[in-house]
Amino acid sequence: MKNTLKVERAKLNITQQELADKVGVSRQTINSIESEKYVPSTLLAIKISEIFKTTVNEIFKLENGD
Amino acid sequence: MESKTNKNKGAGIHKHFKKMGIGIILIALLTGLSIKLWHIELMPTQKAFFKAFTMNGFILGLLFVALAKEKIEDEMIAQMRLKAMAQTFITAVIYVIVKPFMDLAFRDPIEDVTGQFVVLFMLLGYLLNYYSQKFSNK
Repeated sequence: MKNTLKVERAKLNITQQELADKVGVSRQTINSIESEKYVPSTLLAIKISEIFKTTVNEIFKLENGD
Repeated sequence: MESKTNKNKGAGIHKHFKKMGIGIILIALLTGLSIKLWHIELMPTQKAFFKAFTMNGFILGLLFVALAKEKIEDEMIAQMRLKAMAQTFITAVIYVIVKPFMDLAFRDPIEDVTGQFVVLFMLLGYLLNYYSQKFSNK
């Protein structure tokens, strides 16, 4: 699963730590999501999309084979 | 909007138990090593007591480290713990099945696998697996 979290974060000019604090996870979790090592739960994906005032599908996109 | 919903949820004991666990492991190790290194003469009952003390102390310490929560216990940590536990369980089952055949092939006679050893093996395997996942994600 691809994601544009890093881009969205750059648009809002917030750090990984700030985003992590807002959604209630560790900075390592945000880093793992950005580097596509970890796929977040639906709940966390919705929380992240709410921070960026967009939809989950705008940030997280399925790849071939997903 | 500050969300605290994911932080520190789930089963586990307070994070301070990790330090306590490391302390217990060190005490158990030092006790065992000092008896071995200084060749202290012990009666069989004393020997059995110190063996049990060392082994059980080591297991208790590892259990504290394994159960202690992280500073932020979120869903990725929960997934890593689950994965480590599942992989260690499968490895322990394979070990118990394979060990008698390894004993038969390389040394006679076959030694029974004790419960204490399996528990120790599983705790060490779990911690190795969990921390290797954790540090590879940093």
